[in-house]
Amino acid sequence: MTQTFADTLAETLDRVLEGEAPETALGRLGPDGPAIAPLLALGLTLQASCPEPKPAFASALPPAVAAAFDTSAAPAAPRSVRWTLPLLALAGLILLGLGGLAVAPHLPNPGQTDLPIPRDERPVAFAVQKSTPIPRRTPLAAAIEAPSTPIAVATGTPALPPARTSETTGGRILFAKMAPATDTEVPPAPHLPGGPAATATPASSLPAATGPSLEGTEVAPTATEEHAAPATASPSPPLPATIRGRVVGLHDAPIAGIPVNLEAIGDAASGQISTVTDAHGAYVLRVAPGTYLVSATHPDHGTTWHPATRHREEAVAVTVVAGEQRQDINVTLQP
Amino acid sequence: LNVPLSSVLMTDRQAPREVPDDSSERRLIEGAREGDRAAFTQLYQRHVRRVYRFIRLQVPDDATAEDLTQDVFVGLVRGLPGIRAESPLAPWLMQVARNRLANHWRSLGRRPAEVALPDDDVDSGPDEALLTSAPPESLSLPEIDPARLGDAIAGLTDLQRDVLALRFGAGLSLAETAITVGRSVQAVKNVQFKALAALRRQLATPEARP
Repeated sequence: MTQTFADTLAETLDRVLEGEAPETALGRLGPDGPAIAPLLALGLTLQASCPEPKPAFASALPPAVAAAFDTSAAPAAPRSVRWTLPLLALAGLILLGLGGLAVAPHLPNPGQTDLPIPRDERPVAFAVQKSTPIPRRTPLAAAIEAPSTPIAVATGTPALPPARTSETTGGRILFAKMAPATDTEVPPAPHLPGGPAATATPASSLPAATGPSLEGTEVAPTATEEHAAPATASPSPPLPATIRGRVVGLHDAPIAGIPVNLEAIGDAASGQISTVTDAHGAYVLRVAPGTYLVSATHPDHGTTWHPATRHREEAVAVTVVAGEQRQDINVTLQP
Repeated sequence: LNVPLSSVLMTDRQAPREVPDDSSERRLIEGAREGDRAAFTQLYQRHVRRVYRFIRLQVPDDATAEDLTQDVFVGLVRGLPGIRAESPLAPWLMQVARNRLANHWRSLGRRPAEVALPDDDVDSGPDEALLTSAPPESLSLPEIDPARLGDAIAGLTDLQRDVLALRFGAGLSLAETAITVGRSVQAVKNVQFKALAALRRQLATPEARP
């Protein structure tokens, strides 16, 4: 097989990059050396002239990366089989919506995926009770929207009283907090920006669950006999991110009442989150850090993806990190 | 004004070519997966330079390069559960970086000048006539205005840009570059040759005046 100039250049570059003197490397090439030399020099110029990262940037995690890591990194799993098996069973029940686990009825519109996150972005206690059938997506949506939201899971029955606390990270329900539950202060009732006041209720005000017991599930010592254990707030929970924007027509006219959908892509999050534009064509969604495709669906014209395309593959993905607030993620509806 | 080739190589010889130790990288990935921030920080420190330089060679300023580099490592955080610890991390990171760059250009509503990739750009051998005008004297680095260099890089095809940035910005080997761009090593050699030749042609053209 004939050696081409491309091969010769590649080999010479490798030799020089590994430390051989360029004159020596070029000298090996005989009559080809002078022809290869300018390209070799240009490659090395590129290498030498490419700016370096600032030392501070290169030596420590940037805040956004650190926040993402703190949000997403799962803590070490409980090692005790005594705890793990029952908790896995409990998690399965919660996630699959079996056994009638449900968000406390005080939460507004429990079938809606757009659950309230407080404007001040402090953690909210979501109480999950047994035997109150509501759509299974609700607790999952809560977890997706509020990656650090503590969730109080009431597993108790009169015979097996409550309860257990947990929290979510990156949309996954974790069971890291195994200490006996104690009463903690629950943030004030949150409300959706621009929407009606939400009434997420402190878990401690909920009655004890009365559903059938979870066989084999061990329950931590209770805080009180009559109340489900409240959520234990994380000391400094990572914040969810916010994506805001408007849905407009071709002449930039805002369009109200248009469903806006965020589809999580990539590895961090999953599922879809939806809302509807307000009278000004605006929407806001609190989401877990991740990458999303934003789309709006007009009843007559179909779906348009951000910023203005009818083709999903041409959509511009939006990446948000914990605490980030993205604005002007607009969708211009295409006929 | 030319800079002796050897002097540049002496100052930059070792930097982009460091090869992470596979076993320690595997341990760091596994540690980071388990929430070990120190392990993740070591991964960051090990790869940030190559990611930054890969991006910086294709964007006009440091701030944009830092933003996009951060995005890549946020992507690493999210991708940790699915990454195969036994595979080298650099090509994976560079693929994420390529995607972030593509999103960046799309979000700005523009890209660097796109040049249609000729059918024979990759798979056929290089056009050796490109060398006929090569001056025989050059054993020194030409001094190039960074702005002109940026413009010239922007005039390459996407693949040519990527290959040059991977090889000379990120310091990837031919094999790692081939994995990253999804081509054969021979194809990468050909693209590298054509890209440098095209760059040289553009830099040889007198600067256009507005």
